[in-house]
Amino acid sequence: MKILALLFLLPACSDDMTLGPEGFTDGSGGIQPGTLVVHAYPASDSGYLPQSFTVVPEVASDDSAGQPGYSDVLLELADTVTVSGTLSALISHPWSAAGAPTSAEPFAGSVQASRPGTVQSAAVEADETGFFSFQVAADSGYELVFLPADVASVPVTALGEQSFFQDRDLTQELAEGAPIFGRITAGGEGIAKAPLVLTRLEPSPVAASQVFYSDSSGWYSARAPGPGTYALAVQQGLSGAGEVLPALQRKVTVGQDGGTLDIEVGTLSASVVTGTVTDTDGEPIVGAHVLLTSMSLDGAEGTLQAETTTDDNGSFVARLIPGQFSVAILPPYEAPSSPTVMSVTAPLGSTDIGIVRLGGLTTVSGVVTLPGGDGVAAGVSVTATQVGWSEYAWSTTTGEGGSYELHIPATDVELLCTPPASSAAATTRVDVPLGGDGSVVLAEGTPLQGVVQSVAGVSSYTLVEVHDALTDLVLGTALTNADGVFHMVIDMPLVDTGDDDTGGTDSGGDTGGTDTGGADTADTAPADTGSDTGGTDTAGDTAAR
Amino acid sequence: MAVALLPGCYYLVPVPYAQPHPSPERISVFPEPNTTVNLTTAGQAVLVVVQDDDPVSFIWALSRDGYVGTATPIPNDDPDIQGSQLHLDYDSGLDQQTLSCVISDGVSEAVTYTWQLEVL
Repeated sequence: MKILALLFLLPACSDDMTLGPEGFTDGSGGIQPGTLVVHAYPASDSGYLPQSFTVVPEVASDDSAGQPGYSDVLLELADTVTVSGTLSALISHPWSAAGAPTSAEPFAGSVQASRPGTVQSAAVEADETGFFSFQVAADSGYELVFLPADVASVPVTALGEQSFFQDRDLTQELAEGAPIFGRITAGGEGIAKAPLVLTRLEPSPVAASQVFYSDSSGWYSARAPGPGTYALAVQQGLSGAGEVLPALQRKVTVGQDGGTLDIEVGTLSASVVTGTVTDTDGEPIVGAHVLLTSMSLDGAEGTLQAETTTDDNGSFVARLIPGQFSVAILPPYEAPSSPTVMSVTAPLGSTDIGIVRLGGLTTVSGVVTLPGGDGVAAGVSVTATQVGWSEYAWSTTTGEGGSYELHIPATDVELLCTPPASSAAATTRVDVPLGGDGSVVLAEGTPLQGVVQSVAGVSSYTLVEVHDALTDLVLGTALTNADGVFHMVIDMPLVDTGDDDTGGTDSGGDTGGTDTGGADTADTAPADTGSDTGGTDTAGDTAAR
Repeated sequence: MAVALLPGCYYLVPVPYAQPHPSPERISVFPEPNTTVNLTTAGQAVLVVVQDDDPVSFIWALSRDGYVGTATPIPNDDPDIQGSQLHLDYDSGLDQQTLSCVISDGVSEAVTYTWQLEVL
């Protein structure tokens, strides 16, 4: 069966393209099935930064199974550019709606740049003069956010669709924004130093502050970036007076002149829950994480999640608001114990839930076999990741008989089986419920191979991580060899080959309006995915961006 | 103490020379060790790849939180090229902690890489 594969060189110099995985659509607004997002992490001493690429497949017209294919991928690392500048801000009186700013002062805070849906990001603190400097991979579609240290005086400023193809100076004066203020109370009394976060909901969602605090009387003040609908969230934690605060969020409309919002959190009665965590032998477990999540609160609004750890005696103390809580206890990674969860009533005052004895480890084992059960698979990397907890992971490799065994905490796990790159089997993901059989039949898959390079030459020993653009699941990881070549077999999501399938070529062409040339090559590139794994034969390869 | 030699023919037995076993050799590391990593809501990937002809262990730890259990191996066909990767999610509790990765082949001196974390 002949499979045509098509990759697109996305327009690196286009400012009007939609960036990130969400931009590569099937023409109806969704992401085309089979689209991959490939992250490349070159060595830090290479002079290049991590970058993300999008790879779009093509379905052959005679491919009734709908399996997409890919020709050799050329991941061309962009040069590193420096973005710098000096920021100043008009400092207004915090309570002033239209008060005249006195003068521009150096911006104090951080500058963050990111390209949504990719691993391309940078963050730095501005110095005392407002100067900042960071490096990113040359590209378009960056979002830039200036996060002030003092949100009462300077609003968060966001700049979208920034192109950095060469060193760039971003010196500028930030606008004063619109003031928003109000009071945070409990039973009518102001809450001192309540932690708050402002987020813009409309016209487009954006973080509008880092954590800031109410004053000693519960009053707060912030500068919103501009008119719109915002959410002000009281962060759970301790107030300045030592009261436990629940998490609570309220909406506020901010006009040209600003907006006001008061939040009453209800009654903040105190409840203290204590306990001791031990292993199966009754020995205290030190450093176990205890996470208490409210199911209902007595008298207070919002929700509460408190986290603490056990001390040298295995004991923990959690300060709460009275209510009903779910208590999850997760032993530290190195402890030979299993996590547990229970329900606890936190009354007004104190209560001791006593000793919580955690269970021991269990064994997940099985045999990994080749696709179709056609023989055992040796040398397969098996990684078991906890499901529903802290995603702790344990790894081993199958032996000659294809078998493996892991002694791990008793939870559901997700197995990620990565066969040797020389294998025709795909990286396979399997959920194994607690007590379930860990045997795995590797999936058949689609070869994916290519080269990572830059103008300086091939990029050796670069980590290549392939994600499904639809689900963000990791489909496979590989390390380039000394020649910059990687190859893997991925278990592809099936491509819908129904009548309304527009195929990869259409969607790719649509998004590639200002194609810089690579897509043209790809249009006619045959998919020689069977044998062309060599590092030097890149003539038929297709560049991806 | 004097030792009397008996008459006869003597020869020196060659002493076997133990070749010093090299520590795991850095192949690819990201971000650059001994630097400050500014952690944002984007999270942060950290990876270490070394070359060693013995099986290597990668022990990741945070200065306050202890062992990090979420690292995963980087699969590779060349058994001498071994790697481990970690993804740090945005967490204010990571601020001012030091992330370390101790790489040991159990024979030679371990290699340690560290990163200072700063949450912005």
